[in-house]
Amino acid sequence: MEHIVKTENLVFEYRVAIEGDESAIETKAALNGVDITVSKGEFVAVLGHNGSGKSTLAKHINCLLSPTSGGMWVKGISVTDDEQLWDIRSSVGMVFQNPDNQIIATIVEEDVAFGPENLGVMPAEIRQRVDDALLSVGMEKYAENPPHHLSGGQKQRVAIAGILAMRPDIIVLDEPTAMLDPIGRREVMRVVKKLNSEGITIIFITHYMDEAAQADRIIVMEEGKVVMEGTPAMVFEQIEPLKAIGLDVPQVAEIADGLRRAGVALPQGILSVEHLVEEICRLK
Amino acid sequence: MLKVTIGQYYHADSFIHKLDARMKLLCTIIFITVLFFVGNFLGYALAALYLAIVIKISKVPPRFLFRGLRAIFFIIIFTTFLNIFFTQVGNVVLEIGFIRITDVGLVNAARMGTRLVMLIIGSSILTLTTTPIQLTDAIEFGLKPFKKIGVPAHEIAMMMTIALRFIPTLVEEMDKIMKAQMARGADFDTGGIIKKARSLVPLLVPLFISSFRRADDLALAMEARCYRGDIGRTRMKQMKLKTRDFQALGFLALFIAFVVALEYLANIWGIW
Amino acid sequence: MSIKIENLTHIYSKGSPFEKKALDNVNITIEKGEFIGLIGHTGSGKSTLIQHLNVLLRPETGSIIIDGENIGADKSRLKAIRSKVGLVFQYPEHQLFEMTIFKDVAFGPSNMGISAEETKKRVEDALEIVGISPDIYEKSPFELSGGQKRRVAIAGVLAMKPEVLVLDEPTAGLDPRGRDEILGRIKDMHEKLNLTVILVSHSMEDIARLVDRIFVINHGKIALSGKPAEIFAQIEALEEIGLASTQTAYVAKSLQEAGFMLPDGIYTPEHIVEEILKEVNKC
Repeated sequence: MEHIVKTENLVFEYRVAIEGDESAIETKAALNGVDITVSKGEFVAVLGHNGSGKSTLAKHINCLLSPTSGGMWVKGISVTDDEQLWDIRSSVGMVFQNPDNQIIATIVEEDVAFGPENLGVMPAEIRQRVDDALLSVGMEKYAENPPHHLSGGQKQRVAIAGILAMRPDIIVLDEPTAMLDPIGRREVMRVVKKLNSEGITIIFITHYMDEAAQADRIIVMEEGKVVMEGTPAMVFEQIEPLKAIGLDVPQVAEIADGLRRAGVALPQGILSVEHLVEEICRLK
Repeated sequence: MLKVTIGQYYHADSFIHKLDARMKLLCTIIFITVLFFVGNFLGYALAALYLAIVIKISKVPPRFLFRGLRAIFFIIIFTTFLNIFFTQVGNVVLEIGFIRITDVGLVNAARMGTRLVMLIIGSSILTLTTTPIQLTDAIEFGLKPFKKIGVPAHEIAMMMTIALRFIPTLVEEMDKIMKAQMARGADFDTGGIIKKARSLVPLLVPLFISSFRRADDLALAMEARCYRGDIGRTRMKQMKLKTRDFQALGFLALFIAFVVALEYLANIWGIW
Repeated sequence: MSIKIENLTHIYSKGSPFEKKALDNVNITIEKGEFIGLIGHTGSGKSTLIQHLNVLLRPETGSIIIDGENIGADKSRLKAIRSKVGLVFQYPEHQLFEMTIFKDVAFGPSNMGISAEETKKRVEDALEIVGISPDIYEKSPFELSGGQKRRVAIAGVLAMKPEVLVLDEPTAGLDPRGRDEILGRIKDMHEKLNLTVILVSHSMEDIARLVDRIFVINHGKIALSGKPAEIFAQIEALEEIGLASTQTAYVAKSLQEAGFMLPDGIYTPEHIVEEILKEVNKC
């Protein structure tokens, strides 16, 4: 499979003032040697608690930050190549956590048009892209509404439409559901999965294990490093290591694990309610 | 809750809404200028009629327009009184101590008050029927000729857009912070000026901090969406003047013609 | 310290075209020392309801009786009631404003006119229970991590020594570690300070771990109420409202349908493992 994002020993350091000593400066590594590859069309979830480096990684993909050392390539282009910066940005869309702070315009469709306008797309083409994008996220009815009357989930869908109108190959979502209620979370998840099925590569940062469980692959980060990587079934089997770094596991995985510990013979990789029930029924 | 009409678009499907924002802006500026040349009350009546027709066509409920008036009510009252008390020419109508009110003063005050009210209503129609972003585009267009002398037309327009976008968000946020501080026993209503000013600290500090945070987030989001000023930027909505824009201009021209004619007649007949 | 809400109705923008009935004849009784979960999604009316509890909104129709006192009836009692019912808003860290952590937490008590000495004690107690150590009292609250800021903000309400603590989505936006920390502290407060706690959340997992009783609010009405076991068993009713039960409850239901003899009202992983083992070992 073709790699669309690739990092090699990616390091990002930043400086912080040491408390009590105005002149001393300490260097901290937000990313400390990250090696990942993401294939074209993949849906990758990134887990890890705050400060684990996952947002920093996300920002590198869009060239919002540039590596201190190591390398990173998006669609084969090195992110350190300044001349190609806009090429990368136009093929990588980013959705952020706070739905309020990423909508620029006062009317939904004008906001969706913002990206393609920046790219210098011809007006008629922008119109087409805006309509397509809004339709794709199911917000076409709200095209002429002001964004502040929308729910959180709707605002995030508008933000996604704004990215879609730029026709990106990759969408990076940095905790897009953290501030939403269950209905909003489901709306966003549905849209993300739909876009992935249409061929867009998704990199999805989240704290919610049920969302991560829907990805093709999970990357777990801790202290600037990748500590676990694999299919959801593989990752969520590691209940102890996950809990040790302060992450959750889906309840189904926890139940399966509890039963296994008590000596019940259950196969590995149980992640859905149906699967678990089926396996338990087999025991009887 | 704060209610500010300016910058509050009222969504409706009307002739006025469909007009090109640049034309609306131009017409509003002309209308306001004309207001200050009109000297007689028949002219004002005509202007009021003109406004009434425009409001009717715009489908904006009149109460939205009056809401805008409420906000500047004190300015109107203040100007009116200023005119009453400081115009000393003409026949004295009333004299108490050093206060002397003259007929010319009263007429001037009435004139000024009427002008202000119509000015606000006129510009409110513009802001109510034009999305802030269209308005911003119109202003950007209007400022373009000044770009050569260093006026950052695009940047000004972008700043206005963002400000307008965030007004409702910040109003909401202020309401939230205020309630939260009230829940901690903060009191915003009682006490003298100093106490009141100090009681605003728990409100303003969080509001500023949150604005900075939002600005930070927004800058990042804009950069991620390839924003780099107006370099190589296109617009989805192309502003194109249509027949209706010239109809509107024609209607305004007709109004001006009437006003000028009236003014002329008023001079001949010697009315105010 | 019981709370009795009777026939409470609240309409926003009454008489205008934007009129919205946020609360529709709500009746709730909460006993002293209870740990209550209030569930409902955005716009369900839960925010309106909790704002009534400390008179940020005054009851228009219906009444709220706390400890036998009809709140909202007497404006001069406002401060007293607000200190009795502590309200922690969503993202409470957004209200921090003072130069130091200590001063920020002291804001509430000093507004109530409490002596400096007593305030100091209250601030220290409040910060201790939220797990902020004394050596950072003089630090700026803005230098803290997200989870710490939130705990400081909660301490700011606790320092008013409320008897009822209402928390609106206290875990929103936190990572699992931060969430567990906050929930643990809230549990402590409930147990050690003998507080009546009302926890507003849309996380079923959070609620399931802590509360004695649940109210589900939808379209301004109390749609469901009861013990967690009763609520989580009502999978269809919850789904209809746009909420979901815990994953465990779904497993339990499917197993029951498949002929397993499981008791009703299982909603935690530990509990279901135990019950399944009983069943499996029988064979």
